[in-house]
Amino acid sequence: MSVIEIKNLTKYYGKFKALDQINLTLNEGEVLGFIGPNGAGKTTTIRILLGLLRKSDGDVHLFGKDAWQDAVDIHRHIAYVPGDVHLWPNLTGGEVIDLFGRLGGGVDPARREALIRMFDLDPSKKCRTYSKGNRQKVGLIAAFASNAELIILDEPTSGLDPLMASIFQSCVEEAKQAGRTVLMSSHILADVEKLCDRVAIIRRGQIIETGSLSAMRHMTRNTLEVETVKPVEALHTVEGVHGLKAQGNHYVFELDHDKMDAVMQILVSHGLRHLNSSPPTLEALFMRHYGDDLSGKTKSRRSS
Amino acid sequence: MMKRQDFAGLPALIRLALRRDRTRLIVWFVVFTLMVVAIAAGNGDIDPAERLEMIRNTVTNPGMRIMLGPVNPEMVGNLGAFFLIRMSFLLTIVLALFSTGTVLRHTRHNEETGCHEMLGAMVTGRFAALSAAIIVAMLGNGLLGLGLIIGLLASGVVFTGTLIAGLTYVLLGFIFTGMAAVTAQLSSSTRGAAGLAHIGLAIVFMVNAIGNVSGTVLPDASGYDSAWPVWLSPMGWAQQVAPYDVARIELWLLFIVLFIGLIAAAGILVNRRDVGQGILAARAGKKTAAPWLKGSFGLVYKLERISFLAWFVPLIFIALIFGASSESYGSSMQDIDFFEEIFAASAAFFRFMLLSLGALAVTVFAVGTVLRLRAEENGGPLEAVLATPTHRSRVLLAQVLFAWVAAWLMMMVMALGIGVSAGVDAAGMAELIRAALRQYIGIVLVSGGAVACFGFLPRQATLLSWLVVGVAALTGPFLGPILNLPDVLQSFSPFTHIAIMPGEASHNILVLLILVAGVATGLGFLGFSRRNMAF
Repeated sequence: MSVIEIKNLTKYYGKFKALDQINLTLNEGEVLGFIGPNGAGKTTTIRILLGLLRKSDGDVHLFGKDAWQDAVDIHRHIAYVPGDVHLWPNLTGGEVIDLFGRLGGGVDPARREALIRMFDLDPSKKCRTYSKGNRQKVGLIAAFASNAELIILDEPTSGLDPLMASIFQSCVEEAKQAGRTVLMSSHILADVEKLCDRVAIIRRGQIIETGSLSAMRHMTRNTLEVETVKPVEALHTVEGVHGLKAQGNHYVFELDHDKMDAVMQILVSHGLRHLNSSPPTLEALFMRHYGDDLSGKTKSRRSS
Repeated sequence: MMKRQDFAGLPALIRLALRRDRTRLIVWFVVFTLMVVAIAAGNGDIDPAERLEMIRNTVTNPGMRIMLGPVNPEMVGNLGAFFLIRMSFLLTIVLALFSTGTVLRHTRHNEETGCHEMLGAMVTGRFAALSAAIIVAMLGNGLLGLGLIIGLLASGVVFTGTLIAGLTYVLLGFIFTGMAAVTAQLSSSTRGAAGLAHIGLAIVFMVNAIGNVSGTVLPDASGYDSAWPVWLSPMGWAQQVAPYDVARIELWLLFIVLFIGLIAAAGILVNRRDVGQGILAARAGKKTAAPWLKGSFGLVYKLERISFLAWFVPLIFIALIFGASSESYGSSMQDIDFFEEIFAASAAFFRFMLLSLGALAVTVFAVGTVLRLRAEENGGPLEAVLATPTHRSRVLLAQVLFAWVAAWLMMMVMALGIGVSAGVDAAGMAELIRAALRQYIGIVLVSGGAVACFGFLPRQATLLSWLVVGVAALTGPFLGPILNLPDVLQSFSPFTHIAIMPGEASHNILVLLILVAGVATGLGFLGFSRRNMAF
């Protein structure tokens, strides 16, 4: 059974269409990275999942239940850390962690202690004295100390230092090992690349790409760096070759995945001396999707 | 120790504050001026015989003197003086709320939201932000003073006295500006600083009221002189200036000295604390939550108990002090035959009036408590709470029940405190408790209105709810008659229907009010469970 099932979700704020026919599925035990530029609709989607906002149209189900109607039931199985963690200024971090644990499905005291130690948080301080990163730690400790089956994280690492970010990564990996499902939105692509089985890219309220990272890479271009014995005439006119930079017999270009074979034969016929092929980084994917217009026209212009 | 560079950036910060406040200032000015015009016109319609009657009432009834300043026979023929003494309570509250709001908005609130951090990183001096806030608040008070002068002149009041009156109340506004400048340094939250400033206002008001209530009546009962405590309160000074009568403008010196003292105190404090912190250092708290802090109800208790005590304790003191004094007027009036017969009734009226006045204060508490949930929703932790298996209705229920139970406790304890300290018998006590319960209906109704606003119009809820409180107070049984409002307007306030004295309210009306309160609250719950969260 899928943990999250979103079908044709649309959300209007007044006349502004914030989400446009979104489809997204998240299976048990999966870690999904939800990425997209600022204002693309990530937080709106998450808040609809949590039953905090009402959808305008479509179907949203978590654990087979309706996100709005059965919000309270659903929340028994969820832990959530908002993008901006607001806490009660006059409560201490320790009190907030316990409170969230009790409001949710309970906290494992041993895990609570271990997490507080790992994240190096002083739980006796009042929340008003915490920095953004420390407030975020409070939210993360409460979430990971819970027994929730689904953990929803909205930009969880935006305020953490690199050491804390790596501790966060180990927490997500541990959760994954324990068979828990994770949905995280993030701008830190290194986190997403390292932790997520699948990625969904949202832009202007539409999901424009979804799938495993490897599948996404197959749909795009590798970067090739080659050196040949003889110069390759008119390489830039060969179909599938983009952004060619030539320096003597040294060439760097991007190559469409399905033209790999044809181009290799041309290169080999010119005496291949050196070859280095690298898959696109998530960042490259990201830049392509964010930077481009949705029509394919600009896509080719950018890369040629 | 004070250098020029400590004020660097002051002109720019003043312009920023004026830019942020331009609508706010204009609205305060226009509404305030219209209010003065309307009230002065209303008072102008009262003929001299009636005025004399009202003055007599105030003299013979110490309860009235809580709200009204020292009266004298001159006021029969002088609209300005008559207006001013009847309005001094309202004017003081308006000036205090305006000054506190303006100062805190540009000081503590900026620090809380982090705006001050950005400004502080620019070329701005240590005292610049505080000075800008004070100067803008002073300008605003000047505007309100101008409104008072314009409003009174428009009603044909003499010029000189009006000018003195306007300036006097501007100076009173300065005092509240200075008080807010100090409290902004003491507390590390806007809410705390506002609370402290409002406590300051309450003290200023109470001390003056004690002075007036225990004043000595003129031999022919045509007026009374305030007792010495009024000299401890700036509100008392403003009343004692008596602009249309003796015009003691030398009292302005008192205002100026106190204002300078407050500003100096604020300046010293601002230098001794860190940005974003109060003077009182935050102490380490508990590492784990107490066992009872586990659900919406525990959370509300944890968050609101300080606010509850801040209202509860002063109310007890007020009940005890004024309750005890309600029976002691006899001694000061004994020798005047005229009072003998009405004295008994007057003491009882005074006690019921205290309860009714207390109910207004408790209403402010109850509505404030309900609206706290809106602050939790808008940029607060409510989002994270509702992501747990906590039902929305439960969160709202906890908040509303806390407000209502706390309000009920306050009313009961006030009734008991007044009764015990006045030494009434069992029947009198039962009467007081019944009166407190009747007033409680009004509190539940108005705060139920706030619940409805919160449920349906979250973004406007705060403004609308306070508007409802304002209307209920202005058209209620105290201010309604003082403002000389037509009966139709006075019927807007549930407290008018509840009435001050026992036996004046019809049973059916009370049942109807309870029904309306129930419906409004129920609608609020329905709206909240169905609407989008408004962050």
